[in-house]
Amino acid sequence: MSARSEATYTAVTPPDTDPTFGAATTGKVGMWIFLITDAMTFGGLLLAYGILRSGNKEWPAPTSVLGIPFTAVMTFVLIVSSLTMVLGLDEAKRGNRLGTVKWLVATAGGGIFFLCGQVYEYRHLIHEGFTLPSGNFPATFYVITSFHGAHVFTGVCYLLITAFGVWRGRHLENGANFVEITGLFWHFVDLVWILVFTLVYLIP
Amino acid sequence: MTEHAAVHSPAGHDPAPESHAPHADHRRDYFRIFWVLLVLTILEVGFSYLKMDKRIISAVMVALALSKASFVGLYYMHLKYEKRSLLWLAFTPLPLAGFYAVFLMLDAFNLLRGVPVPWAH
Repeated sequence: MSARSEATYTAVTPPDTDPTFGAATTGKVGMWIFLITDAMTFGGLLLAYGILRSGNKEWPAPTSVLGIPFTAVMTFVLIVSSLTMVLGLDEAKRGNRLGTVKWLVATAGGGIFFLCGQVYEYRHLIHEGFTLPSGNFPATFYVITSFHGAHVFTGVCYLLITAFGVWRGRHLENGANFVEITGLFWHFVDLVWILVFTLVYLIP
Repeated sequence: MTEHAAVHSPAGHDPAPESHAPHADHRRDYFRIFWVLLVLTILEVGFSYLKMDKRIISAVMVALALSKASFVGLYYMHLKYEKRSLLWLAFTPLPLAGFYAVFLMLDAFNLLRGVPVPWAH
């Protein structure tokens, strides 16, 4: 651990805070506002899925079309990546530069695994004839899951950029606020997947 | 840095900024929540294969999913440790979105059932 990171680690309120939100920095409040608007977008897509599904008596049971065990493994990896993210944040708050980089890269690795799994799943489904224009179920399925996949991709890039910054000796000041904001985005991606997995894959 | 922070600490504000509190307890919580999420996910997948009333299964699954999402939000996104105003910031839009969703669904179901739209005549 560098002397700099030791020196910058303090358990105090960061300077750029607004009294309304206690210790939350303006950056963190900004990220929360962004996540809420993003949640509304996902909400709209899931609502459209629910309406189309409710109005269609021929809607197939997702478990008969989609590979649940495979997706369950992808879900497990995403949950593990949320754990590695908070462990990375914990290391960042302790001022441990290399420990932070290790967990952030592991988290990004989980995201890359998830994306590879999604590509494999799409290839398999398309091969089976489950293509975008082949019905309302495939159309909504691909729109929702690919929109989430785009978030995972963004999250992986965000994590790697943050990890690179930490490796260069940045982002550990102000109670590792930058790393915490990165983590907020990543956990949001996990949170949304929890809902997508249940609503699109599991509900009979 | 400590001096710097002391200068900028919002003296006189509510107590509470706990997001930078000691970390040992947080670490234990992180692992606990991970196991809870894992068990709930296994339960959900198991439920999806049960031959029961679809409405019951759907209700149980939505409850499990919302529990999991809440655990992620409260513990991994640290909402539990934030000041209440940030919680309000995060959760105030939800009922509004809920109202919007209900009215949109009513409208959509009417359209799907072929109920005439008043303003189209």
